[in-house]
Amino acid sequence: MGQTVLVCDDAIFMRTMIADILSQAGYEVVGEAETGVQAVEQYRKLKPDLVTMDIVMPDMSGIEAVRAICLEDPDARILMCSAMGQQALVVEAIQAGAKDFIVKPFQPSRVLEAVQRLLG
Amino acid sequence: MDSDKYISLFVSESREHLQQCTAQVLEWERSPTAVEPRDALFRAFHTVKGMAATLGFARLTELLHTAEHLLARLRDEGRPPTPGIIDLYFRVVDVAERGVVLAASGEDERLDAMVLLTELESAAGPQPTESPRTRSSVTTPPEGRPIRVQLRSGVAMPAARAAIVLRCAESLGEVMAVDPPPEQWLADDFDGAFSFRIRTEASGDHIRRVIMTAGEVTDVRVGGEVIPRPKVKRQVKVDMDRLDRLVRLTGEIVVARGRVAALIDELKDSRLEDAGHEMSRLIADLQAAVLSARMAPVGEVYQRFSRPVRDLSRQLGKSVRLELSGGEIELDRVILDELGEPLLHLLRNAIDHGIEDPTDRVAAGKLAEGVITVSAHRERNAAVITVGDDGRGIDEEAVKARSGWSASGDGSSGLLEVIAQPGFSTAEAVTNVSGRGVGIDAVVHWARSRGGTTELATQRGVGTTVTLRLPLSVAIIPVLLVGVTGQRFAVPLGFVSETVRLPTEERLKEIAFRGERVPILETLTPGRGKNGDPRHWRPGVVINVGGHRAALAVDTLLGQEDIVVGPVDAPRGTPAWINGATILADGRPVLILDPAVLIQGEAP
Repeated sequence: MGQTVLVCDDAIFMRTMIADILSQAGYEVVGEAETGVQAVEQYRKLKPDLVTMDIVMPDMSGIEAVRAICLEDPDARILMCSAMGQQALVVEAIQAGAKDFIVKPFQPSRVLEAVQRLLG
Repeated sequence: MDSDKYISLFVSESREHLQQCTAQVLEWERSPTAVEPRDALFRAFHTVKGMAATLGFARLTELLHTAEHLLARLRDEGRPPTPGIIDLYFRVVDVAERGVVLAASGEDERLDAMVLLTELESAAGPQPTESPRTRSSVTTPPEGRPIRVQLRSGVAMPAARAAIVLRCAESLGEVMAVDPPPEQWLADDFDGAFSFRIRTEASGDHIRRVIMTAGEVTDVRVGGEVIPRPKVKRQVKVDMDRLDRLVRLTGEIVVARGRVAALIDELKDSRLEDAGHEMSRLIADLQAAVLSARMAPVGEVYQRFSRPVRDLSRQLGKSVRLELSGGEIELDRVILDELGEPLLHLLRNAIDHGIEDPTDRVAAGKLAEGVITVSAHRERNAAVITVGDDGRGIDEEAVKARSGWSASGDGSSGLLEVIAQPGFSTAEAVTNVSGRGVGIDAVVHWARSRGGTTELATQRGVGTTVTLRLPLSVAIIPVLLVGVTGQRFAVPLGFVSETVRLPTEERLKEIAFRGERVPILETLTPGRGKNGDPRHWRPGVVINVGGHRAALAVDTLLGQEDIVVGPVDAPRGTPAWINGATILADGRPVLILDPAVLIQGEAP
């Protein structure tokens, strides 16, 4: 069985795209979240091997979600999905516990490279 | 273990490191607050120390360790070096170079550096924790192991990537002294290079592996060790003798090719011709490749200049700036190895005789600081190296008064001949620098012995420039073969302007060549002009040495060929214009002419 992934993004387009890239590479997308609050709830419930996390989401930002998740599970493997110009936010997310990041626009090879790095 | 092999590697590598050290100390002197020269020195000393310790050279190891210790103290205390400390490091490099030589000949214990050691230690001041002698570089020092990280250039969000690196490192132990600090990583000029210290018991390899997992990391240096990046050029050190053997053998193949080519011409078989051409092309490529392996950049020699120029100008109370350019120009290793001395001669002359005292310069409306330039560039098949100064120029009147020489027209070339007389000097007092003979005779002589030329241009009050023109290779040179009464001679093609017909009229001493009167040289054909030739003309070769032309009379022109120049023990009585000898493709010997001497013999 493939390793499990939770995809968090407020845009369906992005969720679909990331889910496609990952499932085509043999990972199993077990859940999706559109808000930071949902992300934390889903993580608790699903205990996925990997989380992809958008930075800007309603309710609770991606960074706050990272902080909340890592408080409960410091080993959580969270991959930040960021856009150009968000470097300061990415640094903040990493300090909060995110393990790696990718930059939009996503290239499938870059995404998989980062995922493989995290999942070993 | 093959200890000779290790010792010769130790010597060559240590020399390389120590040579660079001099440049680093100079750089450090210029900008005492700069971190890089100090760290570069530290790395170099550390590397050499590691080798010396492995080979058991205790004295040298102790010296380098103490030198390294002071650098570490300066770094940790954020202390810039005093001029005294800079001088100490010049001495460390000198003594260490001597130490390498002593150690290599099994005489490490003869290295006496007690005074220097004491001075280094007192400059470091008392050690707050433990004595420098007992500190081992193997156990983890209390301040943690230094780590340098380089991210891939052009990496997305370097600050975020660097933050991941730090987090990976933190999994191994406490991280401190991050430089530049993380809050500066968001600046546009952060290039992904940073360093920090980590308190950990993990091995260097393990630290490196963990940091690499952060991704986008191209280089990690732990402690003083260097992990080469994969794209760095790989090099192998080759013994010069082996290289020479390759060059000699290639030379012999080139000669043999000539023999085969002659046979192929006779046989007139098109298939053989095709195969022959292919072989010739490959041999030419091989020759070029082998020769290029002997080439090294002039910059290697440049490294040796900064220090003597600095020392000498200080000693003479002059202010001199040395400007070096064209360091990338490549020359045959053999020439390059010999080039240092002649160039140092010229630099000494420039500082001692050329550049004026600062007060005189200011009085003459110049900047107090004199400028000496050494530059190199490539001409067709020669490397041209010039040493110029903006000093007082050569006083031609004084030279005349002393030598009885009188300048005619463009006097500079004649001037060179006069001042190149051994022992010639206009210096009123012989200084211990360069007063006893200007030393330029040695330079002229050397250049000539290598098939090169020397030119001098000087203008009073403006400066003097000496130009050396040197062949790119000493091993194989193209020549024009000429015959005189059955004997064959080779004229290096680099000196040949063209071939001409010389009239066989009586008492003709010169010909018109491109609007210039060019003297006819009868060196090879004494008394032949008078006897007449049924052709009414005979062939001549116009040779050109630094703009001076002469037409060398010969009996026949035999064509062009590449010859291998071998060392020659000239028997007593060999004319000075014979420079060497070689064996041709057909196995017969040929004498190589020295155009510079031929032309000189003609000069009044």
